[in-house]
Amino acid sequence: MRASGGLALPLTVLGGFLGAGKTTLVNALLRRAAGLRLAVLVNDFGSVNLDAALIASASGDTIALTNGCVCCAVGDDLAAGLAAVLSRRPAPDHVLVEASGVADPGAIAAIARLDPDLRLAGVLVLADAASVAERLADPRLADTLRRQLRAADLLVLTKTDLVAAEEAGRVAALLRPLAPGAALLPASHGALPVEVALGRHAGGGGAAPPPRAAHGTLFASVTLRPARPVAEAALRGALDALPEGVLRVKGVLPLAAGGCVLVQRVGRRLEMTPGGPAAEAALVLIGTEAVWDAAEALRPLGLARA
Amino acid sequence: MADEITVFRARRILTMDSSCPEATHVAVREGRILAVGGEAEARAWGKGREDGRFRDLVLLPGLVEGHSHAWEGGVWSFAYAGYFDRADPEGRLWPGCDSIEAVVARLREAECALPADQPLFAWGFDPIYFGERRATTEDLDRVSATRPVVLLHSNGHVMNVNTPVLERSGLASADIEGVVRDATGRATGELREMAAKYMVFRTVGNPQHGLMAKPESLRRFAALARRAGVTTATDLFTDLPDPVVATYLETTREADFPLRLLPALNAQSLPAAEGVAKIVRLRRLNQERLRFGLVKLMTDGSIQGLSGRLKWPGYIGGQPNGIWNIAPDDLTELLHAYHAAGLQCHIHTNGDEASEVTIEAIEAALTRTPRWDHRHTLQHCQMADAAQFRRMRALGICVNLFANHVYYWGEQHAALTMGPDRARRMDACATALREGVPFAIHSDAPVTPLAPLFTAWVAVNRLTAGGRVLGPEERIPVEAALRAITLGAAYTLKLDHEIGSIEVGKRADFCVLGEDPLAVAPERLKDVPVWGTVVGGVPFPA
Repeated sequence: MRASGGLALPLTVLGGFLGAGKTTLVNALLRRAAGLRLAVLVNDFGSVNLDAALIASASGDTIALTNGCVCCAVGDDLAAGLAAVLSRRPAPDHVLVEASGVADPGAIAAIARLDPDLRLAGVLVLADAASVAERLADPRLADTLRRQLRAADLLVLTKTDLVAAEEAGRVAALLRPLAPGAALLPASHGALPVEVALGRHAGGGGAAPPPRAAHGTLFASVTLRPARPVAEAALRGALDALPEGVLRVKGVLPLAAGGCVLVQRVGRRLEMTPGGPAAEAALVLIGTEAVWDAAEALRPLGLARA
Repeated sequence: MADEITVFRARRILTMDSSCPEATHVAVREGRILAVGGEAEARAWGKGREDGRFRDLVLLPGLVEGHSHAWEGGVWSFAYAGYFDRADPEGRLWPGCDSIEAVVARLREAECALPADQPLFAWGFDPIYFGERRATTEDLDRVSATRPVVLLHSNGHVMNVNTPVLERSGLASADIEGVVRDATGRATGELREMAAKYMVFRTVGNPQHGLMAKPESLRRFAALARRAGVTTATDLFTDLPDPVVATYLETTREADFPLRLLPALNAQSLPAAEGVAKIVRLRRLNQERLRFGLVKLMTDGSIQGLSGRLKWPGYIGGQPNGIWNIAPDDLTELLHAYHAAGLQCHIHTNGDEASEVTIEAIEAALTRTPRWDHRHTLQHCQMADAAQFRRMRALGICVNLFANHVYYWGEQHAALTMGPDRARRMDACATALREGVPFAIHSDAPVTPLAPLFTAWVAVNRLTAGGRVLGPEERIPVEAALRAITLGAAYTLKLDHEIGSIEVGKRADFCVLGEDPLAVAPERLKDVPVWGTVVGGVPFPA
């Protein structure tokens, strides 16, 4: 039943309450995803605001962009929208689902966990630093928000430029226990690199992306290569202990016990599955400046910068 | 000849027109009511053709179902597995399945009649009536161990499947919420949540797909309406994709199509500006038996599904509050957009918190853009309290109460969801009447059967399926209930100038009954036989 010819299509869920900045981020990612055939599924086009110059064609519920991306309005029927995306040719490289403001992104992520044609590449939840505390105090909204936060792998605090630094700190402290599986980072005005948001960089190829400054947060990535096979338990322990600023980890490493392991960590959610080509053994860390310290912390495992 | 006068003579005509509440003759010309009263009134326009077929029967205005779904005509493509007896569009009575054993027997029967390569779908199942016992793969594997079997629950969110579906979809081994497992960790075949449903439909196909673009679905819906005395019904939640619009236009033009159909656009399926433009465009296509113009918004879930949004103190079992289908702030914006365009909104609200948020949204829309006679209508509005009804009256809001719930789920609401006190005031028709809120009552077909006389019987008697009277203070008189299923419902649809009563100038739409609903004992109201209908002056025997 694998429709996409063998490779599972990576899927990122973008959640967050009304006004958290999801649309700004979607628009920014669509503009920046040159070289990556990104398919974005939105409820409707109401808030998608693309430069006319970027639109190659528009028909009914699909807008095709000149950079190879598409944006599809799926209304209430996400299932039908995903089926349509899976049958698109050429197949997209990545699919981003923008959840509605009241949806549980975890429920959408579950689809990617279930469907062998899809692979979950992370759940991004945005929270508006200026209003999230007030909303969490509103009994009409609190449970919906808490459900969203709980599902997050990456919790992006937006509109931090609208509040004082200490207020942003207070909000972060309020949110952290509500998003136990997430790494928290500030990023306003959609200034989140493609490689952080989607776990891959535009342009294809395997080279690590250059560090990128974005509104106060310095994003960086580092590629590590193994000098020798690693012990699985030690690797898991080391990855679990990485600092919050390491937003994503991915790669293939040879195991001391034989064979290889595929590593994918988004926020604090770590997946280690057997397999992967030994010839491409490497581990990529993506995040803030914290990746440099993290690289040092992994050195005892025999992992060194390439 | 189109301008020929037909005079129907009946045993009694209950007009719902307070200036002439009763009559024996009604004259019809060009599909409209020309004269009402006795012989003298009927002959005042000249001698018409006398039609005496209703001489021993009783006429009511054609019944109006303000909240139903044309899907009722599509869902009968699947096997019926509900707990209560139910008649299909062809009039065949399917006895209720009062045990899981009976469900299995019904499905086995359906399985035998199905071509080899088709999955078996069944609908209407509700385990809430079977206590602790749930359906399992063992049950459905006895229907077929090879053919996919999918048993859809009446709430629309849960399903049971057999082992072939579990295995082909990969759900048997999936570690995911929504796949119910027994004490040993084995999947029972009960599936909840969107992801599991997605995988099932991806494996065996979505049974709903394309059904409403088939004229047969609409004709079957109309057949059910005709048998229930209904001449106008809503299809109160549809995205109105082009193929469905085309089918609706063509099918309702058929000379023998016995129903006026009112689709309501799902406002959450597209941006407000496009939705307004779509309705304005579709309204130009309106024809005698098809009226676009209504808008539907969904706020919360259902109470028996524990997904309705409740105010304090919440569900009696302490379960978490329900879910929003739209954030309160979004509702305010979306509702205002349609309100400002002069359109009428029908808003699904089950729990009292959802009703409150909606009342506030309408108040905000009215403050921003004052408008008279908007008739925005709260649909279901099952838990509203007296204060909310007073606010509705003050703001000009109508309500369409889900009276059938009292019969079908009243016992469950008292025991499992609301507790006995709040269950007593569910679907509070008498409060609506006392507080002066214009109201209708409905079936939400196919959730419960399309049968307004039955719905009126529930509002009058408030008997539960368990046989007790739930909230006697909320019972309403027969006259008020009959008004709610005719002129009351027409008012909530802004069609009370055209249908809902038997008055000169209105459409000649009648519900034809074998007995007089005002003469039978109130507890027999649901048993009054329906002869059929008259739509635009044309008789349609059931």
